[in-house]
Amino acid sequence: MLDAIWSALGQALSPMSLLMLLIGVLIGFVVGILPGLGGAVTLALLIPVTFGMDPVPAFSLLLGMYVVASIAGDFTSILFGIPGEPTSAAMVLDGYPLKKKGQAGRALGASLTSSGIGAIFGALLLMALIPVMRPLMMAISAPELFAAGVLGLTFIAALSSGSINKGVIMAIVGVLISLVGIDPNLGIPRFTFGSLHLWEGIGIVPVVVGLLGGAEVLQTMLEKSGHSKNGAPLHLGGLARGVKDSLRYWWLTLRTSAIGAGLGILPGLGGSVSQFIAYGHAKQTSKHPEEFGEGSIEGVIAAGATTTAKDGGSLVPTIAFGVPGGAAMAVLLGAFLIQGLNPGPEMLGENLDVTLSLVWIIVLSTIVAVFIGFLLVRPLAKLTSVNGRILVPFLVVMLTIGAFSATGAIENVWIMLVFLAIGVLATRFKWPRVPLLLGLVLGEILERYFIVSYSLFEWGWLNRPGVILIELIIAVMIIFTGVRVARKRYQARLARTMNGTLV
Amino acid sequence: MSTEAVHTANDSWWHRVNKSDLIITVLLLVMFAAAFLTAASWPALAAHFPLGVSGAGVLASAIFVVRVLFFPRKADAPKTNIPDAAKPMADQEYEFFRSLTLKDWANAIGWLGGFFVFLAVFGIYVAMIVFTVAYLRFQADKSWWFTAIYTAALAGTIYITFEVVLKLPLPGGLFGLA
Repeated sequence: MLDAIWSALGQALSPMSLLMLLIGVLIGFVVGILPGLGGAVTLALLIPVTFGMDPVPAFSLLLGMYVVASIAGDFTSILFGIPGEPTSAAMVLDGYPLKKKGQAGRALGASLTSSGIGAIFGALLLMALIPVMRPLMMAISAPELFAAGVLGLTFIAALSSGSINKGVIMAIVGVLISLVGIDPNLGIPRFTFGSLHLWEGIGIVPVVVGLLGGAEVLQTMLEKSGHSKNGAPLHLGGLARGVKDSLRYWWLTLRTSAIGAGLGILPGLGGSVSQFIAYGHAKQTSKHPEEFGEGSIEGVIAAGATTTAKDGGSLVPTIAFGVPGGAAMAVLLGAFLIQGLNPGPEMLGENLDVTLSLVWIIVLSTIVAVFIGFLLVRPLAKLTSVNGRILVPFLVVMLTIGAFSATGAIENVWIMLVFLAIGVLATRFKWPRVPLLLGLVLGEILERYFIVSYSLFEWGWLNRPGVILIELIIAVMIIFTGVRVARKRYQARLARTMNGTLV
Repeated sequence: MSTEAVHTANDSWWHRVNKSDLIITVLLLVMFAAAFLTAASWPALAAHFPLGVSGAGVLASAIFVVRVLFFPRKADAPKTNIPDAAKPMADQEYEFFRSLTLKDWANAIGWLGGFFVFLAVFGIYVAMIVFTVAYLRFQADKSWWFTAIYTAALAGTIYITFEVVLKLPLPGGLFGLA
């Protein structure tokens, strides 16, 4: 194994591989910063370029681009409040408020560092799991995936910004929206209102762009002064502080990396879910949960670490069984086959060096990306210090292209506009937006795996060891949340009583 | 009216009911009920999950309606002189949107609506150029020189990135102008 590890490093460090990696990293930055143009689409576009290449340089280009797109997606979330990638949505929640407080440098430093640690953690996990990859994947079936989806729902309380009732209702709206489209069992159109476009369902990209980015663009348009919302000067000197923050909260960085990588292994859950679960976990375990949503550096670290840690995890089922965890992994699977590599035992035996080289590619591309990221921070951040109104045309075009590019359908732009209106109304009337996103990403997973679990085991699946373990975690989470809410209410009542006494 | 009378009026049950929450929740309740009735007409395998979800939605929104109506918030806290920057972010955004006048909303909807109408008819390039020129010149009060350079840079970057490098289609409108 050790020989294979060093041999793989040698292949990843060959001049051709390094050149391809650098090109991939640069493309990844552009793709990541542009909202909506996800890593999956660009992977598909780059596959023809890899025809005739050796496997390791080919994957240096593809995987280098893919890993970096996630890191760069966080830049747009922090600087403009518009997620560059669907997996960067959680970064908006605290990264953008930090920027509004004039701490963009600190947020970017923390995001880059935690992303770097997360990516390396995910890659090392992939390496560590190679000997046990197949038995591990055999133990995960539809019931465990359904239970993991339910576990995700328990984070609604943490993501509800103070009103659990509203959060629950918004999450149910999200799940209902996820049911739009052709029913996976019988092929019946559901809630499509006669629209052929809706047969495909409502994608995450136009929803994320409209719901989170739309309100920010409208706010920028309507600012009376035309300057940044609170007038706080942009402070980039905090870059080093952000790096230190990530290292100071090393235990949080590692925990959220583990959540990202662990959930990345589960096919179908992916980064869109894991970022919210990691963010919710960070809030629940923080000593300052009240700072979340207001510019908490812990929120930035949790979102950043998860964004990249999932990549190593999601390669596990792709390599071990040829089961892609999401759209990007499905495209990457195509690249494996084009290269003549068959996912499965071969990748863990005769092609082990290629598998291990993927680990090194993730590590190397992350290091290069973090380095370039630190160089790019200053010029990019200058964009945010210009008059807000000047940015409006740029932001409106970004929103439009972001929504359109995911599938190349104009209908997605109209869907984005609908969610822009919902996002603005939710902000205006203090309804939380994030539980809707969580419901949307979990809804399809919950239905699919519930139907499969019931078809295979009826209710017997509830007694599977993996499911029991997750049920226990869910119970602990609910008790933990209940105690926390009760304590908060008691403290609020105590404060009111004390104020009354003082008056 | 005496201070006590004002205080009593402000503390009345209906005053304390959050009307916007009430309206939004009732609308969502109606939506969930409609979804439930729609799903009830589908075959069992396709209907189970939507029925469960919309049923849960009906229950959750009904509970919240009861809460909003019969257990309303406490009387408003007296106004404070806390500066805007020190308030929670959600409150700042809430107060920002709350402070907007009808004219502000009409202005924003007009600009955005105009862009998307142009997008639907003439495609991204025409919409982008017309919107950028009009917005920078007449809303942001920028000079013609600045407007021209900005518009050329934005349109050029989008063209080179999407048409030349990535070869990805962009919305062409009714006339396919992209």
